[in-house]
Amino acid sequence: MGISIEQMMKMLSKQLGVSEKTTFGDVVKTKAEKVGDKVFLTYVRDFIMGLMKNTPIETCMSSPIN
Amino acid sequence: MHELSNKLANGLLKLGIKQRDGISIFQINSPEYLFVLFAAFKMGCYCVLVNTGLKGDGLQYIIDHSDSEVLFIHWTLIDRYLNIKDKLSKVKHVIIDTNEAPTDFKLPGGALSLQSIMDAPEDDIKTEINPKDMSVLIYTSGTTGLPKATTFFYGTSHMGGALTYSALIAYGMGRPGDTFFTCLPLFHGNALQLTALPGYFAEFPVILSKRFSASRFWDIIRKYEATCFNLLGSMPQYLLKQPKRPNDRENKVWRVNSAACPKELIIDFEERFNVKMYEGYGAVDGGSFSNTLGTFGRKNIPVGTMGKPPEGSTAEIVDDEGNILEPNEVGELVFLVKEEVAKESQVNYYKDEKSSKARVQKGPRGKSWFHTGDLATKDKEGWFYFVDRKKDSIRRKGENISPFTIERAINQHDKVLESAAYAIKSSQVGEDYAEDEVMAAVVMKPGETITPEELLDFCQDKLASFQVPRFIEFVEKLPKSEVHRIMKRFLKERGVSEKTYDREKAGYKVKRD
Repeated sequence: MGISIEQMMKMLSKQLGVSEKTTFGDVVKTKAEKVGDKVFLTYVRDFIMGLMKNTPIETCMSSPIN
Repeated sequence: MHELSNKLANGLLKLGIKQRDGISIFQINSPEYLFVLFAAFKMGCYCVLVNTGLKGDGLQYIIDHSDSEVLFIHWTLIDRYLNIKDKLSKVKHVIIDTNEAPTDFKLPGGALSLQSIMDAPEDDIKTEINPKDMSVLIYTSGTTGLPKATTFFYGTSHMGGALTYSALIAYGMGRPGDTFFTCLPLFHGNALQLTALPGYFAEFPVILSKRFSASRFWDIIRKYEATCFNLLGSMPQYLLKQPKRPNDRENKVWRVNSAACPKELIIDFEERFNVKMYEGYGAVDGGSFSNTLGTFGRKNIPVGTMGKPPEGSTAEIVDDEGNILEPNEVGELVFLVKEEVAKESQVNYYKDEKSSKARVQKGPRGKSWFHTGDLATKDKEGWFYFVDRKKDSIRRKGENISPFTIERAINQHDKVLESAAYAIKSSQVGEDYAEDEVMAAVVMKPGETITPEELLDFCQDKLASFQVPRFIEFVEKLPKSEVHRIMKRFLKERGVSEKTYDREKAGYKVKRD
């Protein structure tokens, strides 16, 4: 292996600004400040409805969530 | 996510919900699912991820056992709640996600809508999180008894280094620029802890679908330009059994992470869909990161391997007495528990100390080992290969038989969609001897038929004589969990019926080895 998991953890922690006391909420807040406009989640919302109506996939909606 | 989860958290605080309260989430895959989780983690509550396939007593048991005071439900699941409502004495708040509900949908008495609660300020939540507090409970399927709740704590799963580790998982499963896709349910560890949360922390876009559909799977992958996804259970088999299409190889996927898969299935899958499959191993109740196998950072990976344990961890294959077996011998996969991290890596089942302790046992040389309950082999180079669930193993003619081997043979038939092999007790067929008989439930592809004899002829060259099923039953479908794992306990309980083919009664002769 070129790089150990411990080394990667150290690098990533620095990159994410995470210490032992960092909470989930801290990271979410930091992300919102730093990359708040970046789409995190795209939800294939009415995929099942599309299936039931046998409509092509292009007609299905999706919702981007930041 | 930050603003929306703040709104929800503030709405919950206003209702009187406080740190360390239990929140059961009985909800389909949706952004709202993640809003609830994010809000709960900001408040320091613990979330109970409830399987949406549950109903009746099974559902009531989990909500009650988990001591949840809050219950989130998707409106499509409301009848399941109404049927057990009177038995949920600990639940103080019922909150219903009414997103896309019909206009005439009425909230049950005392319930509130999620959307109304989210009409609250966006102010940041100020909570001092205690690393020793519980963050998540995930219940086992309860194959051998009542479901057990695997407990996660803030300090080891949703705080500090655990957050970094979550991001690291994303880099273990993908590479910068990837788009993750999941259609697995968010109440399952794979979708949540191996896709959605790692994707969020490492800033990989995540495509979330409501559920798995074999016929539309690749259309969604192409439309949303996903590059990486995870498969479980019979999903690879289902995708391969779909009719071939000219655009099967046209996608941007470079990596598919899979649970144990037969070698020939991996080869076919990679060739047909132009992807690379990577197997890995880790149980939801595995206790710690040390108790995993993978191929991250490894080279010259053999096809079909689950990988090796992470650097600094030790995995072995042992017999029933705990003795370490030679390379390529089948035994139980175990992980060494280091004394210095024994407490952190201990499996914790909520309110079940006895089961928690049972997962770690002393070996003949005094070392402690985490027992996975899975059968595997290890080759001379240290690569591990899955064989089967230990409890699913069939004992016949003095041999331990892996149902996996039998299913692999049957599933290779072009007309077969999928199958399940399992043990039938001799007492279930009116006979009285100590060993099991092999039974296979087989689902044919739509419009296809085959006789049991044709199927046995096909399997004979692929199986040892003692592995050839005695009983065969063709069924419409197999009972499955929400993560597409076959629920063999239901098949075992059902046993044989008048529709079951018995090769001994039919006079079919199995070729001797």
